[in-house]
Order: sequence, then structure tokens, then C-alpha cells
Amino acid sequence: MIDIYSRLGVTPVINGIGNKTFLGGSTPSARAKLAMEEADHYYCSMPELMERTGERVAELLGVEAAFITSGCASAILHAAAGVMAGTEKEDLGRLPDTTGMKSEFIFQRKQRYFYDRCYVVPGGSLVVVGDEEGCTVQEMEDAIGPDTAGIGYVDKSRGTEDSAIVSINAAMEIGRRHDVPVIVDAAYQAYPLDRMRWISGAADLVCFGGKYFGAPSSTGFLCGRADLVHAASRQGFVASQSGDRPRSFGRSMKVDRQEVVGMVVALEEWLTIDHEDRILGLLDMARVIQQAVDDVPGVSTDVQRVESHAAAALTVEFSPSLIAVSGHAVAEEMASGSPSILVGHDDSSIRIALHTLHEGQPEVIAERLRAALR
Amino acid sequence: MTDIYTRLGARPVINASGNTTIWGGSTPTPAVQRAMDEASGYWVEMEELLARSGELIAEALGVEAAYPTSGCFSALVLSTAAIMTGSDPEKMAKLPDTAGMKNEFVFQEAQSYGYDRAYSVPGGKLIKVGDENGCAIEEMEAAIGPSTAAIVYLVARTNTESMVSYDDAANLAHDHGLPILADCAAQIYPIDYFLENAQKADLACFGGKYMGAPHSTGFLCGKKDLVDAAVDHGFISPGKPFGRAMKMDRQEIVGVVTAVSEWFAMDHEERLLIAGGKLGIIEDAVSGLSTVDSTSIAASDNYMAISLNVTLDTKTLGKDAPEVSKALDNMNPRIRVDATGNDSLVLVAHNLTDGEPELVAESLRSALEG
Repeated sequence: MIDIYSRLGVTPVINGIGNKTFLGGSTPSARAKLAMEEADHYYCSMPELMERTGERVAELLGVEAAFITSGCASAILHAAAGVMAGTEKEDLGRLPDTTGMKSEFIFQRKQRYFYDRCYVVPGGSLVVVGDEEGCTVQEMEDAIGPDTAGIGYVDKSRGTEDSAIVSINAAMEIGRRHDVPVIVDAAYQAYPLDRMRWISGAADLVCFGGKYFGAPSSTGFLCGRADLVHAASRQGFVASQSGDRPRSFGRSMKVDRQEVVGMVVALEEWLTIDHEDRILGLLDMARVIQQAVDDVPGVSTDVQRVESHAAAALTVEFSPSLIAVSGHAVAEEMASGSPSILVGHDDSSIRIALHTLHEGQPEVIAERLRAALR
Repeated sequence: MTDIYTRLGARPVINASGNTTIWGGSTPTPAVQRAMDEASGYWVEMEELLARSGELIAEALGVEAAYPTSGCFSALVLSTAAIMTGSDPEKMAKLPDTAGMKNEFVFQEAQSYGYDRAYSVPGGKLIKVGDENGCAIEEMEAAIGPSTAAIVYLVARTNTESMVSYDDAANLAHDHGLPILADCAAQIYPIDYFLENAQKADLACFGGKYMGAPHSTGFLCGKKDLVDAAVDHGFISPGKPFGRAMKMDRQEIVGVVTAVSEWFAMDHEERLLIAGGKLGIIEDAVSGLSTVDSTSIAASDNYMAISLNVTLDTKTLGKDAPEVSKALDNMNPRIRVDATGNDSLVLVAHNLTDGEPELVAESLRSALEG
């Protein structure tokens, strides 16, 4: 049993709900961790490391350029800042004061979400188009004016496109017609790989979170057009100490050399591992839990494949006529105790994410679930 | 020889200088590294981890509250935001638009530095007082007006008598019912000085890298109501927080709190002896050379606490100190040694790991043998 958390007076958690930032976001893959330890042995020039790793990420994804950041929100923020302020030292040092700059970002009402503040933090403003139902190409195009800095976009699709909103391709066409860049938040679009590769080249700037592909939680990157990536990197945390020392906006979004190295190695691994094999491993984990409750009357289990990095999840259903438990109560009982086990739940079922479980944890879940059903 | 940097095309560096961000900032101590590895084993409620870590840091520093951040600059940004908005959710949601808020931060011109950018990032305005040589307390007081949010202060050993002192600035702020926000980034040693710096301000900000925590960590600490407001701007706060992009891993949070405990528990005399021993190896290798005028190992008044000075006979050597520094930088691995002025090199040892003092000694010797 781990003791660092008990020493700090904090309950350790077995995570059956996914790569949530509020639970720590990710556990770096074994290979990423090894590379991070290796990175510890020496120091390095951070500007050099940021450049080389950006080139490597770009090469891996077949895009012009890339820049590693302290997460996807940070990537969007750098993108927005770069698009507004460009590369001139005086301009970029002025943010969030955007006087004299184009600072409006067009955003579809139906896509509004937690992270749209990333455009506002460096001084931008959102011009919201369409309504809750959707948005047309015409509505988006009509909103473009002399102060438009860019089009903001979030890709929430998980294998299914929403036809009521303007698609990325259509947004890019509008952008091209008006010479306005499109920034896409593709945070968790890391799988399937062909989709990741497609989307990383589908817009002017595309932002990803590292935690979805086995990198540390506080890593991510933006990629796309070389000139725009360069402008974004001028806002980065090492820029203020190198070159002409601009007073960049992004100094607070620091990353360690270990994290930068960890992210690149995790991405290399993600793009080369056998994902069918990875998914088989997840199914094995599910089986451990399934076998523990299969013989309990009124309990049935089902593994669903999902079109995302998570790949598969296990649902455990309770038939109310046969077993007197609710999904909420079972989840609550599993959450109490140490380690706390967190799972998704509704009235009649619990849902367990498999990709965030560590070795040995399915066995712990199996035991605790069985006990909760007793 | 590590090959991860070589494979990525970045050259590895042996660091006989300080914890500068562009050189990677820090290498976590073994105890910190172990704690971080352990932290990977399980997930955790970040809110609980941050709260508990904050309590432990606050306890160690004798202040009301503390909050880990992704570095000292991040601590300054969140502190600035907290001072302007308090815990008013409407104001918090508006940043960096600070219309209708007190948003002026009074600051001495003579303390101007790269990181004073932190105050404008969330929408604050720096009101600089005095000139580059100094500032009188009356000048500082005259700048306080209805829009003043706080006095900000850079705590540094380089502050001079002609500047307003930390004490006087704190008293002046409090006389006017204002908070004082202090950037104390590396001001962590001696321990009494560390405590004093933390306790004097309403919000004080520190970098974790100076005490063996990961590079991208730090913390803010001080009055509970202000720390609470900073927490509400932090990356895990609900409601689109200003600071979302300043993300931390659970491993890093565990790392910074472990480093703080270690810094307080460790025998600093021993730390200095070890650093002195490493510097001694380097000094011995070069002190007799005809190209070296003199060498000295002396206490320095910062967290590094001890440094080796090598004064060169540049005429005999035919090279000046920056050229020697450059030659060392061209090696593989690169060796980072700072030149101070034309004829002097300064080395610190706390970033040198096992075997590296010998390597630096040998390389420096051959560079100085011409």
C-alpha cells in the first residue's frame, strides 16, 4: 500500500471514471516515465528542447510545426494569444490589452463550453453565433468583421458528426475566404489514430491534451501552420528569457524538461503501439471484474467498445426485481474506504472506465464490488 | 551517458550554475523523486491533495494558508488576480477585464524586472514609483489612491538602502488597509530569513525549484481569505477559472510539498559541506595553474549558499572568462559555468550529481591549460 498519500492525509483513489483533471489527469506510461527519469540526469537548454520536440511532434503527425504546452487549455490560450498578437515584441508584451489588434473569436453557441475562456484570458472576446440548436455556414460567415482574429472550434465528436453545426472543413473554408485562422480544440481526439492524424492537419491550429495518450497530465501541444505556431511559441514560458526577451503572456504555464520529454515519448509510443493489443489488455481487466460478480443473482455485465482513447468500458447492471441495490448506492460504497474507488453510476448500473486502471487494481475493484453486493 | 536528449536532438547539459528556467530549472531530489513515483501509483482527488498540501506548507512556514502552483510566476498571477477580485464570483469571471475593480499595483521602479509582467497578465496595472536608483517612502505613499489594489515588492538581496525596505512597504500597505504582495522566489535560505519573508506579506510567492522540487512548481502563501480567492482562480476550480491553463500533475504537487518538508528537516550545515566538497574538487584541479590568478570558495547569500570563484590570468591564458565559458559550453555534454566580468568564473555545486564535479574539474582544467 502506497504511503505518500496517507502521510499527506489524502485518500488514494482507484480511477474508474477516466482522465479527469480533478483526479490527476493521467498516469504516465511506463516508457514515458523511464524517459522522464533519463531526462533528469542532465539539464538542457529549454529553448533548444522546445524546438527539437516541436519538430519531432510535427514530424510524427505530418504537420508543419508543433509546440508543447502545459496542457490543452494552455495550448488554446497560446494559440489565441499568438493569433491576436503576432510575433512583434511590443505587441505580444501588451496582452491582455488588445488595443489595435484583431481580438474577436467567432464561436458557435452550441459549442460553448468550459474552455472557451481560454480565448478571453489573453484578452480576446467571443462573438457567439447561431443558437442552441446549431449554426449555419451563413451565420458564421456573416459574423466575420474587421476585428475578427480567428474562428474558435471544439471537436466533441466521438465518431459521429453533428450536422447542425458548422463542420471543421466548412469553418476552414470560411477562414480561407477571409484570411482568418481556425483554432480547433481536439483535446481528446487521440484515437482512432487515423482520426488523430486527420484532425491534427485539418485546421490552422489544433490543440491536444497529453493525458489522453499516456503523457503527464500537465502536458499538451498545439500544432499546425508554422507561422502561427511560431507566434504562439513567442508567448511561451521560456521565450521571455531567450532571443529578444519578449514579455510573453505565458510565463506562468511552465513545463519541466522531464514533462516535455515524457510527452514526446508518450506520443511516439501512442502512434506505434498495437492498439488492438492495448484493447485486449483492457478486456482482460474487465474480465477480472466480470468473473467476480457473474454468479451474483440480478447482476449482469457488458463491455462496450467506444470510439475514443478509452476504447472500452465495463457496465455492471442491477436488475431491480432480483437485487435490492441501486447503482448510486454501490458506487458510494465503493468510493468510501481507502483506496477510494470511483466509478460512473446511475439508478440501475455502474460504469467502470478501464484505461485509467493500473495493474492489480481490477482485482481490488472485483473484491470491493463483490463486498458491496453482499 | 543518457541518450534521450541526443535522440531528440537537444544537447545534454551539466549544470555548474543556478536553477534557471531556460536551463531546465531543477532536478528533483531523490526523496522528492521517490514521493513523485509513489504518487503515480494511485489517483487522488486533486482538491483534497491541494488543500492538504497547502495546509502542510502553511504549517511549515507559520502562515495562515498556502496553495501550490505551477511555479513562482503562476503564484504571482494568481495572487494578483485574487487581490483584485477577492472571492466575488462575478469579478472572477470578468478577468482580465478589471473595470470597476481596484487594479493598480504600486511598485518601485528600481525593482523593475522581467517578472513584473505577472501583474498585468490578469489585468492589473503597475504604478511605478521612484526612479531606477531608488524610491522614498513618501513617493510610494503618494502613489496610493482609490484604485490601488496592493503594494507589490520584490524581495531580493540586491535591494539597496535607497529603496523602500520590505518592512516599510509592508507597514505602509497596512496603514492604508492594503495588502502587500511579495515575490520571494528564491529567498529561502537561511531558514529564519525564509520564514520572515513568508510571514511579512499578505501574499508571498516562492519557486519550488530552489528547494529541490520539480521545476514547474511553486506556491503562494499568506492570509487565508486571499489564499482562498487564489485557490478559486486555480486550475481545478469549477466555473471557468482564470488559471485553468496553469496545470499541475499530482506528482508535482506531492513533489513540492515533499521538498518543502525536506528543506525544513535537512541539516543545512551538511548540505553546505557537501557542496563545498564538490567545489573543492574543482578548485584543487585548477588552483595551481599558471593561467589562474586565484581561487576562493566563499559563502554566498542565497539559496545556493556557497560558490567557487576562479579569477583568471587572461594574459597568460590568451582567453577571457566568457570565452572559457563558451568553450565549456561547446563540449559534450555541455558544461554550464558562468563568467562574471572579463576575468572571473563562478561555479555552484548544488546541481552537480555524482561524478560530475570530477568531470567539470577535468574539463575546466584542460580549458585553462590552453
